[in-house]
Amino acid sequence: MVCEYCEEVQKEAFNFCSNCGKQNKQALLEEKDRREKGDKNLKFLSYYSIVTVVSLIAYNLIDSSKLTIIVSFSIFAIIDLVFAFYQKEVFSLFRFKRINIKVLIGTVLLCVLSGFLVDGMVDWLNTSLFGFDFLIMDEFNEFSYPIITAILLYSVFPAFFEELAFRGFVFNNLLAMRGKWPAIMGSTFLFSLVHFSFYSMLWIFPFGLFLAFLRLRYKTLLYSMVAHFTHNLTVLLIEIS
Amino acid sequence: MPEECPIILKKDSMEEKKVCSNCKSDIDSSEKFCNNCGFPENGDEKEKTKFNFGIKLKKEALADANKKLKQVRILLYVLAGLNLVMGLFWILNEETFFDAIGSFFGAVVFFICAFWVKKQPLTGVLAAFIFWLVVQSLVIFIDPALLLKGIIWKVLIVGFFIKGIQSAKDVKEFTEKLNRNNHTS
Repeated sequence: MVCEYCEEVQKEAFNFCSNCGKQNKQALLEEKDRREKGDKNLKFLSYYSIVTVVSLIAYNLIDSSKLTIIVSFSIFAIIDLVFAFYQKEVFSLFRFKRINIKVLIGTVLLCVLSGFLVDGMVDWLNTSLFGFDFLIMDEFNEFSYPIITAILLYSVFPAFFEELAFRGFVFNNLLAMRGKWPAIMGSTFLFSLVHFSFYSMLWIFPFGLFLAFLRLRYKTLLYSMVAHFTHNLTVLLIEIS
Repeated sequence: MPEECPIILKKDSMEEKKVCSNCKSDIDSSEKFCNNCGFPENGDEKEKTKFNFGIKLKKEALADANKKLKQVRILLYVLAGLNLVMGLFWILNEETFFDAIGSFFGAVVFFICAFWVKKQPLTGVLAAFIFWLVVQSLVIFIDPALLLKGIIWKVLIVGFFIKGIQSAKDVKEFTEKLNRNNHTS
């Protein structure tokens, strides 16, 4: 190897030139590249957090009518898709060939169980705190097909878009920036924050940890999507029945 | 004479295998700078002073960044303390425990973030900042005008957080640079 500044021949791996004392240019450029990439990850995460939090606050402030629900959900979908297309590598997490049927069945069973657990806990918390239980279906009763709409907007939509965002690009950026644990904790932390409900953090945080584990262990979003879908659907179906 | 042999060998190897006085890696006497850490082992006094001055500047920058991070940690402890006091205030005013739980939860999150800043500065500061922003923006649901309440304090806190993010990045950068020069302390 040759020093790029003074062209003196160097050892195979060198940090500094033995002749002019300057740092290995290649290593310096790689380091600069890494730092710029880190800045890019940070900016991406900040923009996504700000946009999501602002739009969620706006959603919670407006009255929920048929039109506002549809418009708001479309806006959330567009935000997620715009961010996902900005970092297209997130779509590589949708590979079907990585699916192991045993893991899939295990995930589904666990999430049915967690759905029952959470439903029981929510019922108990709501009745002991507020004196009555909140119903998910209240929001969807205005629609012509309330059950189908509820399944779509309460189970399918979060399973796809929340996973794409939190276990997808938020997780990816944190992983590239800080490694495994900050990615798990950071994405779960943000995931539970955007639900804007303090009490629900009690089960959303552990559930988020489980989803983040699935994403890390199997390097695919499909398990966590199935898990999220099954969990939400179970909660919804218990309420409907 | 057989006894002299080891002594001669030792002398030879001493001449060939010189080590850098900064990082202790092998260095040839023909090489002016150490390949590993950049120390001008065979350079003149002026070059050595220049190298040491560079180290000193980096150490100062690192100390400064650590000082600012410490300020952010203190801010987080203060926020945690305030939440704790608020929670106790709720309980003492004969409210139910559930009214106080939000404040206690805030206190726990800020405490965890303060410890996190020590382990992973950037992630810790960011997590605390996002949490603080979300909590602040939640007052919109009560009354949007509350957003402007104590605005000077809020601007100051935002300033601390932004400085903290920059400092966390600086700590990483200068620690890496000093590691390369084998000067971690």
